[in-house]
Amino acid sequence: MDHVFSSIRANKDVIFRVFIAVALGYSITMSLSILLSLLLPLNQVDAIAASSMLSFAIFTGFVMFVFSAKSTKRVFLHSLIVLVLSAAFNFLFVTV
Amino acid sequence: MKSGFRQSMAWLHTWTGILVSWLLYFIFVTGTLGYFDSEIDAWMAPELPQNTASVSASLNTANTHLNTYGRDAKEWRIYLPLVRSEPHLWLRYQQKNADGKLKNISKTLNGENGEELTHRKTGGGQALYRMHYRLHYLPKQFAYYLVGVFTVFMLLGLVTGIVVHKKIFKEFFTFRRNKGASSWLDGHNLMSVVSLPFHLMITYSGLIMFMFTYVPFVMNASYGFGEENKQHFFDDYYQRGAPNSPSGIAANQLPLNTLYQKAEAVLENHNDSRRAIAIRVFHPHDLNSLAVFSLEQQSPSDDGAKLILHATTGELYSYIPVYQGTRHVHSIFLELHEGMFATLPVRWLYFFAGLTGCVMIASGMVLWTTKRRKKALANPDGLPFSFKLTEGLNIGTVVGLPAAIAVYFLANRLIAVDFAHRAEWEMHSFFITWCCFIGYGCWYSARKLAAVAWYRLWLSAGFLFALVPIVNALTTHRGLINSIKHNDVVFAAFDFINLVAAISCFAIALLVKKHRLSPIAHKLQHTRQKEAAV
Repeated sequence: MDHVFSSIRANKDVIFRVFIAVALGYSITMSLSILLSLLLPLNQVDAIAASSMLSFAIFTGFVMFVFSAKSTKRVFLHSLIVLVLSAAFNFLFVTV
Repeated sequence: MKSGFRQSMAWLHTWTGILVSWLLYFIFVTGTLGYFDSEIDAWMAPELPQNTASVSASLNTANTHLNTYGRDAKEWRIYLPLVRSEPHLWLRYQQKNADGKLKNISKTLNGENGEELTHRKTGGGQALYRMHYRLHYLPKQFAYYLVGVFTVFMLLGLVTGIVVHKKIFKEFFTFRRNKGASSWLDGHNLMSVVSLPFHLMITYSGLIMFMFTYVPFVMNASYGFGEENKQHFFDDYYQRGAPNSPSGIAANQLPLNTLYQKAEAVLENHNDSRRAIAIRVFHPHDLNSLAVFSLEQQSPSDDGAKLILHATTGELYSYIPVYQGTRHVHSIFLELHEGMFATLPVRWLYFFAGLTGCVMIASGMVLWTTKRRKKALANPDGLPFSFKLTEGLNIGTVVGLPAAIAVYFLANRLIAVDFAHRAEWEMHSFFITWCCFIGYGCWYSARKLAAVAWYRLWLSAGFLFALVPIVNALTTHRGLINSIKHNDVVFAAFDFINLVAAISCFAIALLVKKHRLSPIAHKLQHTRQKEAAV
């Protein structure tokens, strides 16, 4: 029985991590890339292109982080904090 | 999660790998062939003669044609038969139709006499190459996104694969023969590491190729949402459109040949050894008309050259040797991916690097089933469905795709030249073949006869490739012997490479027979003899 429960738990864990990697991962990638495009000391079009090119590296790194970390809950929380913070900065930069 | 960083990466590598391997294999095979797209184009349009016209003859032809039919055009584009991607003089311009509306015209001409060149309807090498990012039958945007997702998986597969192999160099030089899964693993590693820089480059640059589709929000954050804002950004970034506006005052324009010579003089002054290969004339026969010359590419970092002359006087308007800023970095990625700069030896290097990619993916697929076969066969309820499906898809795709390509070539020769939908049916025949191979693979896998399917399908693929030069010789005057006689390198090489492909397929079939079929047959015979003795 223990074995069955642990495998169900493992599956749930995998599904949750896939969700974090895909949905949160894409949002965080976008948010960080936008922040980068606003901060890079280049002219606007160049900064946009450069950050867009780098976004794929950010995403790849993030997915590896999600699947390698010990605690799923902590991964989720940390990711959420990064997302909220970067989004807030973006909002400030774009509106102010 | 699995304990340890490396273990969790190994898990991620296995599962992301097998999930996307079939489509990735398709992308790699068709993309690899794309490095010879123009050569395949030529073979699939055997009516087209080889170009014999010189540059100045082609320019004269273009000048006469455009001054006759392109007087009302907003823009002329002249592609000279100088590089492998443009085997014939190609003109694009606009012409007024019966309602007085401008209509886009595209014409391929014989550079010597200006006659229009026509050929059988075919997708050619372009259709094969286009499938590696656009797929087929699916809506365009959806296909782009799908390929993008798979490319991200590929990137993840590569990066996690690197992490998994802590002793990457030691493992690179390890090859355990005839050891089942271990041999496949070693082969998989060999193929991956030998062209790892190529794989990383091609995957990352593939994503960059469509970055404004995959990550549009970076651009949206500054330019806003919607089609109009996107076009605005593209105008800014790609600097599209005419560099100036027409004056409305008619003026006589210098002949294209004269302009070309003036452009050559400017290039010589700037010590630029590249040749001008295409000309865009904005607002022809206007006082402000400009001729924009684009230059051939000799290295991955020299894209974006623009030499602009006043078309009425031939004076220099501007000269930019390469792209500037981030666009330069961007263009290097795209150039490395497309390899437009590649000379024939480098092109072959690209081709073989692409092939190692195909073998890397295929060996990964086989490895997945090899590792799980023993357990699947021991399952008391018969083979699990997932195993049967995976194995069937593996067989049908690994062998089926090359076979489908052979059928695509055969269809080009066998479908009647005047059949209205022949280009579409070339494509259909490709996918029908692939489906048949998958069906056969699944059917045999379900009956635990995967080895038989591998053997028979490799044999059939070999026969199909061997048929290509034979059918070509029977249906056209440009068979292998004639091509060699007339020094027709592209046609001779095409037929020859199909023969090489056929021999390779037969060789693989024999290997399958030796390693997978004979032991089974031997064992069966042995048990039968035993039973008979009892």
